[in-house]
Amino acid sequence: MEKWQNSDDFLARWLEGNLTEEERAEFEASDEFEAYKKIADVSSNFTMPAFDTQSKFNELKKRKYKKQAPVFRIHSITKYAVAATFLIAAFVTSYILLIEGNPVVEYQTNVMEKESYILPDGSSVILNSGSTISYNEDTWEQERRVKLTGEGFFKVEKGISFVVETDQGSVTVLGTEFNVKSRLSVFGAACYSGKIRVTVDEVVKDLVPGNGIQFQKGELIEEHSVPISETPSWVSGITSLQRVPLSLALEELKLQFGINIQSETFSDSLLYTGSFPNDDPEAAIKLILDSFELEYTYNAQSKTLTINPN
Amino acid sequence: MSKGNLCKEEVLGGVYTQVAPQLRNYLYYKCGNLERSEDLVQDAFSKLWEKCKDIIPAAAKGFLYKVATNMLINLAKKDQVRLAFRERNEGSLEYENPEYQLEYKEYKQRLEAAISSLPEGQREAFLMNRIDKMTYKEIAESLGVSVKAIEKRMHKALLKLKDVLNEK
Repeated sequence: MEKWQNSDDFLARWLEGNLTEEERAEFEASDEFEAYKKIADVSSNFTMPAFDTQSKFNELKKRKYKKQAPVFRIHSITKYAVAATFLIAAFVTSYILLIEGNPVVEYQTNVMEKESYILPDGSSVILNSGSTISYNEDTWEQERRVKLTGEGFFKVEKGISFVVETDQGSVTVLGTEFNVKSRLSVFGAACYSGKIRVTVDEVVKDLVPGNGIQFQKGELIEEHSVPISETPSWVSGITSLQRVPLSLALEELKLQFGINIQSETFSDSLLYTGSFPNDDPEAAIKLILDSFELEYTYNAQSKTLTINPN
Repeated sequence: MSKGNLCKEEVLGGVYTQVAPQLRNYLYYKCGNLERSEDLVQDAFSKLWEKCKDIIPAAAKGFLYKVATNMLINLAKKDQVRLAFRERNEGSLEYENPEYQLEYKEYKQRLEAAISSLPEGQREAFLMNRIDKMTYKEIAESLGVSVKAIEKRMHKALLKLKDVLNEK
Protein backbone atom coordinates (compact mmCIF):
# COMPACT_ATOMS: atom_id res chain seq x y z
CA MET A 1 0.00 0.00 0.00
CA GLU A 2 1.42 3.30 -1.00
CA LYS A 3 2.25 5.95 1.47
CA TRP A 4 0.25 8.57 -0.32
CA GLN A 5 -2.95 6.62 -0.09
CA ASN A 6 -3.30 7.75 3.50
CA SER A 7 -3.43 11.35 2.41
CA ASP A 8 -6.38 12.86 0.61
CA ASP A 9 -4.54 15.59 -1.27
CA PHE A 10 -0.84 14.74 -1.44
CA LEU A 11 -0.77 13.96 -5.14
CA ALA A 12 -2.87 17.05 -5.90
CA ARG A 13 -0.39 19.20 -4.08
CA TRP A 14 2.49 17.54 -5.85
CA LEU A 15 0.97 18.33 -9.22
CA GLU A 16 0.58 21.99 -8.34
CA GLY A 17 4.08 22.21 -6.91
CA ASN A 18 2.80 22.64 -3.38
CA LEU A 19 4.87 20.08 -1.51
CA THR A 20 7.48 20.92 1.09
CA GLU A 21 11.08 20.34 0.04
CA GLU A 22 11.17 17.28 2.24
CA GLU A 23 8.00 15.82 0.84
CA ARG A 24 9.12 16.45 -2.72
CA ALA A 25 12.52 14.82 -2.27
CA GLU A 26 10.96 11.80 -0.68
CA PHE A 27 8.37 11.44 -3.40
CA GLU A 28 10.86 11.79 -6.23
CA ALA A 29 13.05 9.12 -4.67
CA SER A 30 10.20 6.65 -4.40
CA ASP A 31 9.50 3.71 -6.72
CA GLU A 32 6.12 5.06 -7.71
CA PHE A 33 7.33 8.46 -8.82
CA GLU A 34 8.11 7.53 -12.43
CA ALA A 35 4.62 6.21 -13.04
CA TYR A 36 2.97 9.36 -11.71
CA LYS A 37 5.30 11.60 -13.63
CA LYS A 38 4.50 9.80 -16.85
CA ILE A 39 0.77 10.15 -16.27
CA ALA A 40 1.16 13.86 -15.61
CA ASP A 41 3.44 14.51 -18.57
CA VAL A 42 1.61 12.56 -21.22
CA SER A 43 -1.78 13.91 -20.19
CA SER A 44 -0.37 17.43 -20.25
CA ASN A 45 0.31 16.92 -23.89
CA PHE A 46 -3.30 16.25 -24.83
CA THR A 47 -5.26 18.92 -26.68
CA MET A 48 -8.83 19.54 -27.62
CA PRO A 49 -9.90 20.64 -31.10
CA ALA A 50 -9.95 24.41 -31.61
CA PHE A 51 -13.14 26.29 -30.85
CA ASP A 52 -14.13 28.87 -33.45
CA THR A 53 -15.61 31.42 -31.08
CA GLN A 54 -16.53 33.98 -33.71
CA SER A 55 -18.52 31.71 -35.97
CA LYS A 56 -20.07 29.85 -33.05
CA PHE A 57 -21.28 33.11 -31.58
CA ASN A 58 -22.77 34.09 -34.91
CA GLU A 59 -24.48 30.73 -35.03
CA LEU A 60 -25.89 31.39 -31.58
CA LYS A 61 -27.31 34.71 -32.69
CA LYS A 62 -29.03 33.15 -35.67
CA ARG A 63 -30.36 30.28 -33.59
CA LYS A 64 -32.01 32.63 -31.17
CA TYR A 65 -34.30 34.04 -33.75
CA LYS A 66 -36.11 30.93 -34.87
CA LYS A 67 -39.81 30.93 -34.08
CA GLN A 68 -40.70 30.12 -30.54
CA ALA A 69 -44.08 28.97 -29.37
CA PRO A 70 -46.03 31.98 -28.17
CA VAL A 71 -46.38 32.15 -24.40
CA PHE A 72 -49.62 33.32 -22.89
CA ARG A 73 -48.93 35.49 -19.91
CA ILE A 74 -51.19 37.38 -17.56
CA HIS A 75 -49.57 40.58 -16.54
CA SER A 76 -50.23 44.09 -15.42
CA ILE A 77 -48.27 47.04 -16.66
CA THR A 78 -47.61 50.04 -14.53
CA LYS A 79 -45.80 52.87 -16.18
CA TYR A 80 -44.14 55.77 -14.53
CA ALA A 81 -42.75 58.51 -16.65
CA VAL A 82 -40.32 60.75 -14.86
CA ALA A 83 -39.04 63.83 -16.59
CA ALA A 84 -35.65 64.91 -15.33
CA THR A 85 -34.68 68.50 -15.88
CA PHE A 86 -31.24 70.02 -15.92
CA LEU A 87 -30.36 73.45 -14.63
CA ILE A 88 -32.16 75.10 -17.48
CA ALA A 89 -35.89 74.77 -17.05
CA ALA A 90 -36.67 74.70 -20.75
CA PHE A 91 -34.78 71.49 -21.39
CA VAL A 92 -36.33 68.09 -21.11
CA THR A 93 -33.38 65.81 -21.10
CA SER A 94 -34.21 62.17 -20.58
CA TYR A 95 -37.05 60.27 -19.06
CA ILE A 96 -37.07 56.87 -17.50
CA LEU A 97 -39.74 54.30 -18.13
CA LEU A 98 -40.07 51.84 -15.29
CA ILE A 99 -42.21 49.02 -16.36
CA GLU A 100 -43.45 46.20 -14.17
CA GLY A 101 -44.79 43.15 -15.86
CA ASN A 102 -43.23 40.83 -18.33
CA PRO A 103 -43.46 41.53 -21.98
CA VAL A 104 -41.99 45.00 -22.42
CA VAL A 105 -38.24 45.05 -22.83
CA GLU A 106 -36.42 48.32 -22.42
CA TYR A 107 -32.83 49.43 -22.80
CA GLN A 108 -31.42 52.77 -21.81
CA THR A 109 -28.09 54.46 -22.30
CA ASN A 110 -26.77 57.03 -19.89
CA VAL A 111 -24.90 60.21 -20.52
CA MET A 112 -21.55 59.52 -22.21
CA GLU A 113 -22.60 56.00 -23.08
CA LYS A 114 -23.18 54.27 -26.42
CA GLU A 115 -24.41 50.72 -26.60
CA SER A 116 -25.54 48.18 -29.12
CA TYR A 117 -28.49 45.86 -28.49
CA ILE A 118 -29.90 42.89 -30.36
CA LEU A 119 -33.62 42.60 -30.97
CA PRO A 120 -35.53 39.31 -31.02
CA ASP A 121 -35.38 38.92 -34.81
CA GLY A 122 -31.67 39.59 -35.13
CA SER A 123 -32.06 43.25 -35.97
CA SER A 124 -29.82 45.51 -33.96
CA VAL A 125 -29.74 49.07 -32.74
CA ILE A 126 -26.84 51.22 -31.57
CA LEU A 127 -28.09 53.75 -29.05
CA ASN A 128 -26.45 57.12 -28.66
CA SER A 129 -26.02 58.67 -25.21
CA GLY A 130 -29.09 59.40 -23.16
CA SER A 131 -31.47 57.35 -25.27
CA THR A 132 -33.95 54.55 -24.71
CA ILE A 133 -35.68 51.94 -26.77
CA SER A 134 -38.48 49.65 -25.74
CA TYR A 135 -40.56 46.97 -27.40
CA ASN A 136 -43.12 44.34 -26.51
CA GLU A 137 -41.75 40.81 -26.65
CA ASP A 138 -45.16 39.19 -26.84
CA THR A 139 -46.38 41.06 -29.89
CA TRP A 140 -43.03 41.15 -31.67
CA GLU A 141 -43.92 38.34 -34.04
CA GLN A 142 -47.03 40.11 -35.27
CA GLU A 143 -45.39 43.48 -35.53
CA ARG A 144 -41.87 44.75 -35.04
CA ARG A 145 -42.48 48.01 -33.23
CA VAL A 146 -39.86 49.88 -31.23
CA LYS A 147 -40.28 53.06 -29.21
CA LEU A 148 -37.32 55.36 -29.24
CA THR A 149 -36.30 58.45 -27.33
CA GLY A 150 -33.05 60.14 -28.23
CA GLU A 151 -31.05 58.67 -31.09
CA GLY A 152 -30.46 55.22 -32.51
CA PHE A 153 -28.92 53.66 -35.57
CA PHE A 154 -30.89 50.63 -36.72
CA LYS A 155 -29.92 47.61 -38.80
CA VAL A 156 -33.10 45.78 -39.62
CA GLU A 157 -33.31 42.20 -40.82
CA LYS A 158 -35.68 41.45 -43.67
CA GLY A 159 -39.12 40.51 -42.44
CA ILE A 160 -42.48 41.98 -41.55
CA SER A 161 -42.69 45.72 -41.28
CA PHE A 162 -40.47 47.35 -38.70
CA VAL A 163 -41.59 50.60 -37.08
CA VAL A 164 -39.64 53.01 -34.94
CA GLU A 165 -41.94 55.29 -33.01
CA THR A 166 -40.90 58.51 -31.32
CA ASP A 167 -43.09 61.16 -29.81
CA GLN A 168 -42.38 63.46 -32.73
CA GLY A 169 -42.79 61.10 -35.65
CA SER A 170 -42.17 57.57 -36.85
CA VAL A 171 -40.10 55.63 -39.36
CA THR A 172 -41.23 52.46 -41.14
CA VAL A 173 -38.81 50.12 -42.87
CA LEU A 174 -38.23 46.85 -44.62
CA GLY A 175 -34.77 45.34 -44.16
CA THR A 176 -32.46 48.29 -44.12
CA GLU A 177 -30.10 50.59 -42.18
CA PHE A 178 -31.13 54.00 -41.01
CA ASN A 179 -30.73 56.59 -38.29
CA VAL A 180 -33.52 58.13 -36.25
CA LYS A 181 -33.14 61.08 -33.97
CA SER A 182 -35.73 62.57 -31.70
CA ARG A 183 -34.28 65.09 -29.28
CA LEU A 184 -35.96 68.12 -27.85
CA SER A 185 -37.88 69.66 -30.70
CA VAL A 186 -35.82 68.11 -33.47
CA PHE A 187 -36.80 64.95 -35.32
CA GLY A 188 -34.48 63.61 -37.98
CA ALA A 189 -34.08 60.45 -40.02
CA ALA A 190 -31.46 59.37 -42.55
CA CYS A 191 -31.33 56.30 -44.73
CA TYR A 192 -28.06 54.39 -45.18
CA SER A 193 -29.34 51.38 -47.06
CA GLY A 194 -32.69 50.00 -48.18
CA LYS A 195 -35.66 52.37 -48.03
CA ILE A 196 -37.55 54.00 -45.21
CA ARG A 197 -40.81 55.85 -44.85
CA VAL A 198 -40.86 58.79 -42.46
CA THR A 199 -44.14 59.99 -41.01
CA VAL A 200 -44.58 63.21 -39.03
CA ASP A 201 -48.25 64.03 -38.53
CA GLU A 202 -49.67 64.26 -42.06
CA VAL A 203 -46.30 64.55 -43.76
CA VAL A 204 -45.05 61.30 -45.25
CA LYS A 205 -41.68 61.04 -46.97
CA ASP A 206 -39.84 58.07 -48.41
CA LEU A 207 -36.06 58.13 -48.24
CA VAL A 208 -33.49 56.19 -50.22
CA PRO A 209 -29.86 55.68 -49.24
CA GLY A 210 -27.91 58.87 -48.87
CA ASN A 211 -30.96 60.96 -47.98
CA GLY A 212 -31.85 62.51 -44.67
CA ILE A 213 -34.52 64.88 -43.45
CA GLN A 214 -35.02 66.99 -40.39
CA PHE A 215 -38.10 68.41 -38.72
CA GLN A 216 -38.26 71.11 -36.11
CA LYS A 217 -41.34 71.26 -33.94
CA GLY A 218 -43.18 69.10 -36.45
CA GLU A 219 -42.27 71.20 -39.45
CA LEU A 220 -40.05 69.96 -42.22
CA ILE A 221 -37.14 72.34 -42.25
CA GLU A 222 -34.65 70.62 -44.45
CA GLU A 223 -33.66 67.72 -46.59
CA HIS A 224 -30.00 66.90 -46.76
CA SER A 225 -27.74 64.20 -48.00
CA VAL A 226 -25.76 61.93 -45.80
CA PRO A 227 -22.55 60.33 -46.95
CA ILE A 228 -23.34 56.71 -47.76
CA SER A 229 -20.83 55.35 -45.32
CA GLU A 230 -21.27 52.35 -43.11
CA THR A 231 -22.75 54.21 -40.18
CA PRO A 232 -23.52 57.74 -39.02
CA SER A 233 -20.59 59.70 -37.66
CA TRP A 234 -21.78 59.61 -34.03
CA VAL A 235 -21.26 55.86 -33.96
CA SER A 236 -17.57 56.55 -34.51
CA GLY A 237 -17.52 59.32 -31.92
CA ILE A 238 -18.15 62.44 -33.97
CA THR A 239 -21.34 64.41 -33.41
CA SER A 240 -22.54 66.06 -36.57
CA LEU A 241 -25.27 68.68 -36.46
CA GLN A 242 -27.00 70.44 -39.31
CA ARG A 243 -29.06 73.56 -38.72
CA VAL A 244 -30.20 72.58 -35.28
CA PRO A 245 -31.26 75.04 -32.61
CA LEU A 246 -28.46 76.10 -30.28
CA SER A 247 -30.42 74.55 -27.43
CA LEU A 248 -30.03 71.14 -29.04
CA ALA A 249 -26.33 71.66 -29.64
CA LEU A 250 -25.93 72.38 -25.94
CA GLU A 251 -28.02 69.32 -25.15
CA GLU A 252 -25.64 67.21 -27.21
CA LEU A 253 -22.72 68.61 -25.20
CA LYS A 254 -24.43 67.43 -22.05
CA LEU A 255 -25.15 63.99 -23.40
CA GLN A 256 -21.75 63.33 -24.87
CA PHE A 257 -19.58 64.84 -22.15
CA GLY A 258 -21.77 64.83 -19.04
CA ILE A 259 -21.35 68.54 -18.36
CA ASN A 260 -23.74 70.92 -16.60
CA ILE A 261 -24.74 74.09 -18.38
CA GLN A 262 -25.83 77.38 -16.87
CA SER A 263 -27.25 79.82 -19.35
CA GLU A 264 -30.28 81.71 -20.49
CA THR A 265 -32.80 80.15 -22.81
CA PHE A 266 -31.95 80.67 -26.44
CA SER A 267 -34.37 81.41 -29.21
CA ASP A 268 -34.89 78.55 -31.62
CA SER A 269 -33.92 80.80 -34.47
CA LEU A 270 -30.28 80.48 -33.47
CA LEU A 271 -29.19 77.54 -35.59
CA TYR A 272 -25.95 75.63 -35.42
CA THR A 273 -24.22 73.59 -38.11
CA GLY A 274 -20.98 71.78 -37.39
CA SER A 275 -19.25 68.66 -36.09
CA PHE A 276 -17.23 67.88 -33.02
CA PRO A 277 -15.39 64.82 -31.76
CA ASN A 278 -16.64 63.23 -28.57
CA ASP A 279 -13.32 63.06 -26.81
CA ASP A 280 -12.57 66.75 -26.18
CA PRO A 281 -15.25 68.75 -24.37
CA GLU A 282 -13.36 72.04 -24.40
CA ALA A 283 -12.81 71.95 -28.15
CA ALA A 284 -16.46 71.12 -28.71
CA ILE A 285 -17.65 73.93 -26.46
CA LYS A 286 -15.38 76.40 -28.18
CA LEU A 287 -16.55 75.30 -31.61
CA ILE A 288 -20.18 75.78 -30.81
CA LEU A 289 -20.11 78.94 -28.74
CA ASP A 290 -17.52 80.81 -30.80
CA SER A 291 -19.77 80.57 -33.82
CA PHE A 292 -22.38 82.56 -31.91
CA GLU A 293 -19.82 84.90 -30.39
CA LEU A 294 -20.96 83.93 -26.93
CA GLU A 295 -18.67 84.43 -23.98
CA TYR A 296 -18.39 81.66 -21.48
CA THR A 297 -16.33 80.03 -18.76
CA TYR A 298 -15.78 76.30 -18.44
CA ASN A 299 -14.69 74.67 -15.22
CA ALA A 300 -13.21 71.34 -16.21
CA GLN A 301 -13.12 70.00 -12.68
CA SER A 302 -16.77 70.50 -11.88
CA LYS A 303 -17.63 70.04 -15.55
CA THR A 304 -19.72 73.20 -15.50
CA LEU A 305 -20.17 75.51 -18.44
CA THR A 306 -21.43 78.99 -17.72
CA ILE A 307 -22.53 81.08 -20.68
CA ASN A 308 -22.55 84.83 -20.11
CA PRO A 309 -25.80 86.59 -20.87
CA ASN A 310 -25.82 88.55 -24.08
CA MET B 1 -22.44 45.75 -12.55
CA SER B 2 -26.12 45.93 -13.26
CA LYS B 3 -28.72 43.57 -14.55
CA GLY B 4 -29.61 43.91 -18.18
CA ASN B 5 -25.98 44.27 -19.17
CA LEU B 6 -25.91 40.70 -20.43
CA CYS B 7 -28.48 41.67 -23.04
CA LYS B 8 -25.90 43.88 -24.68
CA GLU B 9 -24.29 42.11 -27.60
CA GLU B 10 -20.82 43.21 -26.60
CA VAL B 11 -21.14 41.92 -23.06
CA LEU B 12 -22.72 38.65 -24.06
CA GLY B 13 -20.08 38.21 -26.75
CA GLY B 14 -17.39 38.79 -24.15
CA VAL B 15 -18.81 36.13 -21.89
CA TYR B 16 -19.06 33.78 -24.83
CA THR B 17 -15.43 34.27 -25.76
CA GLN B 18 -14.33 33.67 -22.18
CA VAL B 19 -16.52 30.74 -21.25
CA ALA B 20 -17.69 28.82 -24.33
CA PRO B 21 -14.41 27.07 -25.26
CA GLN B 22 -13.78 25.76 -21.74
CA LEU B 23 -17.41 24.86 -21.25
CA ARG B 24 -17.37 22.77 -24.39
CA ASN B 25 -14.25 20.95 -23.25
CA TYR B 26 -15.73 20.29 -19.82
CA LEU B 27 -18.86 18.77 -21.38
CA TYR B 28 -16.73 16.60 -23.65
CA TYR B 29 -14.78 15.32 -20.68
CA LYS B 30 -18.08 14.31 -19.13
CA CYS B 31 -19.80 12.67 -22.08
CA GLY B 32 -17.14 11.94 -24.69
CA ASN B 33 -19.31 13.25 -27.52
CA LEU B 34 -17.94 16.36 -29.19
CA GLU B 35 -21.03 17.24 -31.20
CA ARG B 36 -23.32 16.88 -28.23
CA SER B 37 -20.97 19.07 -26.22
CA GLU B 38 -21.04 21.83 -28.80
CA ASP B 39 -24.83 21.72 -29.01
CA LEU B 40 -25.13 21.91 -25.24
CA VAL B 41 -22.91 25.00 -25.18
CA GLN B 42 -25.29 26.73 -27.55
CA ASP B 43 -28.29 25.54 -25.54
CA ALA B 44 -26.82 26.82 -22.31
CA PHE B 45 -26.04 30.21 -23.81
CA SER B 46 -29.54 30.40 -25.28
CA LYS B 47 -30.90 29.87 -21.78
CA LEU B 48 -28.61 32.57 -20.46
CA TRP B 49 -29.80 34.91 -23.15
CA GLU B 50 -33.44 34.30 -22.29
CA LYS B 51 -32.68 35.29 -18.74
CA CYS B 52 -30.21 38.06 -19.56
CA LYS B 53 -32.29 40.67 -17.74
CA ASP B 54 -32.16 38.76 -14.48
CA ILE B 55 -28.54 37.69 -14.26
CA ILE B 56 -25.53 39.88 -13.60
CA PRO B 57 -22.45 39.27 -15.74
CA ALA B 58 -20.40 38.01 -12.79
CA ALA B 59 -22.88 35.20 -12.22
CA ALA B 60 -22.99 34.13 -15.85
CA LYS B 61 -20.24 31.50 -15.74
CA GLY B 62 -21.69 29.67 -12.75
CA PHE B 63 -25.12 29.72 -14.36
CA LEU B 64 -23.79 28.33 -17.63
CA TYR B 65 -21.93 25.41 -16.06
CA LYS B 66 -24.90 24.52 -13.89
CA VAL B 67 -27.40 24.67 -16.72
CA ALA B 68 -25.19 22.72 -19.12
CA THR B 69 -24.51 20.03 -16.53
CA ASN B 70 -28.21 19.64 -15.84
CA MET B 71 -29.00 19.43 -19.52
CA LEU B 72 -26.42 16.68 -19.88
CA ILE B 73 -27.90 14.74 -16.98
CA ASN B 74 -31.31 14.99 -18.60
CA LEU B 75 -29.95 13.46 -21.77
CA ALA B 76 -29.08 10.57 -19.47
CA LYS B 77 -27.43 8.48 -22.12
CA LYS B 78 -25.32 6.16 -20.12
CA ASP B 79 -23.13 5.32 -23.08
CA GLN B 80 -19.71 4.34 -22.08
CA VAL B 81 -17.42 7.31 -22.27
CA ARG B 82 -14.45 6.85 -24.59
CA LEU B 83 -12.22 9.84 -24.74
CA ALA B 84 -9.49 10.38 -27.29
CA PHE B 85 -7.14 13.28 -27.66
CA ARG B 86 -4.65 14.63 -30.12
CA GLU B 87 -1.26 15.71 -28.97
CA ARG B 88 -0.02 19.21 -28.50
CA ASN B 89 3.13 18.79 -30.58
CA GLU B 90 2.35 16.01 -32.95
CA GLY B 91 5.46 16.42 -35.03
CA SER B 92 7.90 15.78 -32.22
CA LEU B 93 7.46 12.00 -32.19
CA GLU B 94 8.99 11.74 -35.64
CA TYR B 95 12.43 12.16 -34.20
CA GLU B 96 12.11 9.15 -31.93
CA ASN B 97 12.83 5.62 -33.05
CA PRO B 98 9.91 3.45 -34.14
CA GLU B 99 10.01 1.30 -31.05
CA TYR B 100 9.61 4.34 -28.83
CA GLN B 101 6.83 5.66 -31.03
CA LEU B 102 4.92 2.41 -30.76
CA GLU B 103 5.37 2.24 -27.05
CA TYR B 104 4.23 5.83 -26.70
CA LYS B 105 1.12 5.26 -28.78
CA GLU B 106 0.23 2.21 -26.79
CA TYR B 107 0.66 4.02 -23.53
CA LYS B 108 -1.38 6.94 -24.75
CA GLN B 109 -4.28 4.68 -25.63
CA ARG B 110 -4.16 2.95 -22.29
CA LEU B 111 -4.04 6.30 -20.54
CA GLU B 112 -7.05 7.52 -22.50
CA ALA B 113 -8.97 4.41 -21.56
CA ALA B 114 -7.92 4.76 -17.93
CA ILE B 115 -9.05 8.40 -17.85
CA SER B 116 -12.34 7.41 -19.45
CA SER B 117 -12.89 4.92 -16.67
CA LEU B 118 -12.46 7.53 -13.94
CA PRO B 119 -15.65 8.36 -12.09
CA GLU B 120 -17.35 11.60 -13.12
CA GLY B 121 -16.20 14.47 -11.00
CA GLN B 122 -12.63 13.18 -10.96
CA ARG B 123 -12.48 12.85 -14.71
CA GLU B 124 -13.50 16.40 -15.58
CA ALA B 125 -11.40 17.97 -12.86
CA PHE B 126 -8.32 16.03 -13.95
CA LEU B 127 -8.71 16.98 -17.59
CA MET B 128 -9.58 20.61 -16.89
CA ASN B 129 -6.29 20.80 -15.05
CA ARG B 130 -4.19 18.87 -17.55
CA ILE B 131 -5.63 20.05 -20.86
CA ASP B 132 -7.24 23.43 -20.16
CA LYS B 133 -4.43 24.29 -17.74
CA MET B 134 -6.89 25.54 -15.15
CA THR B 135 -5.74 25.97 -11.55
CA TYR B 136 -7.63 24.17 -8.78
CA LYS B 137 -9.10 27.53 -7.84
CA GLU B 138 -10.41 28.13 -11.35
CA ILE B 139 -11.87 24.65 -11.57
CA ALA B 140 -13.53 25.03 -8.16
CA GLU B 141 -15.05 28.33 -9.25
CA SER B 142 -16.46 26.96 -12.48
CA LEU B 143 -17.96 23.90 -10.84
CA GLY B 144 -19.21 25.66 -7.73
CA VAL B 145 -17.29 23.55 -5.23
CA SER B 146 -14.41 24.18 -2.81
CA VAL B 147 -10.74 24.06 -3.75
CA LYS B 148 -10.30 21.29 -1.20
CA ALA B 149 -12.91 19.22 -3.02
CA ILE B 150 -10.97 19.59 -6.25
CA GLU B 151 -7.71 18.62 -4.55
CA LYS B 152 -9.33 15.45 -3.27
CA ARG B 153 -10.62 14.62 -6.73
CA MET B 154 -7.21 15.18 -8.30
CA HIS B 155 -5.48 13.05 -5.70
CA LYS B 156 -7.95 10.19 -6.12
CA ALA B 157 -7.77 10.45 -9.91
CA LEU B 158 -4.00 10.06 -9.90
CA LEU B 159 -4.15 7.12 -7.54
CA LYS B 160 -6.74 5.40 -9.69
CA LEU B 161 -4.91 6.08 -12.95
CA LYS B 162 -1.67 4.65 -11.68
CA ASP B 163 -3.53 1.67 -10.36
CA VAL B 164 -5.28 0.96 -13.66
CA LEU B 165 -2.15 1.49 -15.74
CA ASN B 166 -0.08 -0.75 -13.57
CA GLU B 167 -1.74 -3.99 -14.51
CA LYS B 168 1.09 -5.66 -16.33
